[in-house]
Amino acid sequence: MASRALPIINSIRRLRFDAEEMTQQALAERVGVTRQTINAIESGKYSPSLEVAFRIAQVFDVALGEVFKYQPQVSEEVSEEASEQT
Amino acid sequence: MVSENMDVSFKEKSAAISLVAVLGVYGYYFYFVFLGTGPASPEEMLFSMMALVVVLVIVEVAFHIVVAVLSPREANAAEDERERLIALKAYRVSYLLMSAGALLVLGRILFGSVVELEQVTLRGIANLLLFALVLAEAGRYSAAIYHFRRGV
Repeated sequence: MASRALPIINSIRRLRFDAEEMTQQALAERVGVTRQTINAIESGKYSPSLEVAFRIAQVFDVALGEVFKYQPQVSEEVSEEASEQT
Repeated sequence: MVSENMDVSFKEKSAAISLVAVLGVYGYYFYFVFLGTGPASPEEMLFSMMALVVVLVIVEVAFHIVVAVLSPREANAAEDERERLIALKAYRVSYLLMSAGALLVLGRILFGSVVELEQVTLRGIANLLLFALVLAEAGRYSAAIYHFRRGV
């Protein structure tokens, strides 16, 4: 069973890498969520609230659009690939 | 080093503990009920239910303490928005199961008493209600684990 692909992609992994390999735990503490929630957001299993999204962008000192992008076609393609594999 | 993808949060562990405890404790009780060797009188049933609750609480507290000792920081952390959303979705599943159970019990009382009057006893109704409650709780914990694993 494949995970439901969300239409929102993010660059958190790259941003963490650019921020001297910031750990998920460190980001989670600064944002005020659990490490597992950061992991879920990064892997596209959870779309955060607007507030948490802004807090993540604030931590990296970038615009919200640089962290999250809305791409519904990516979601559909991923879903199609997943359904072909199952 | 543990992979970040293999993370299991305290809330997920808690749901797993509760699921196993509920299924184990009440599974033991209903095993005897379905065999026909369960409590024979309302007094015995009341005693059994109280004993089950005590055992359930002891099992849950013991395992939660172990998990909290192993990961104290996560155990003390406040619930975040994803965990709250998962809890709400899990309660929805629980509500649907409990509603279905309540309708089944109602049907059993209204129609069962017409078709087979002697079969509908207060003890039977109480067991059906308890079964629905256990099913609803098991459904809630299962739904929570599902959303923790597969996403919200």
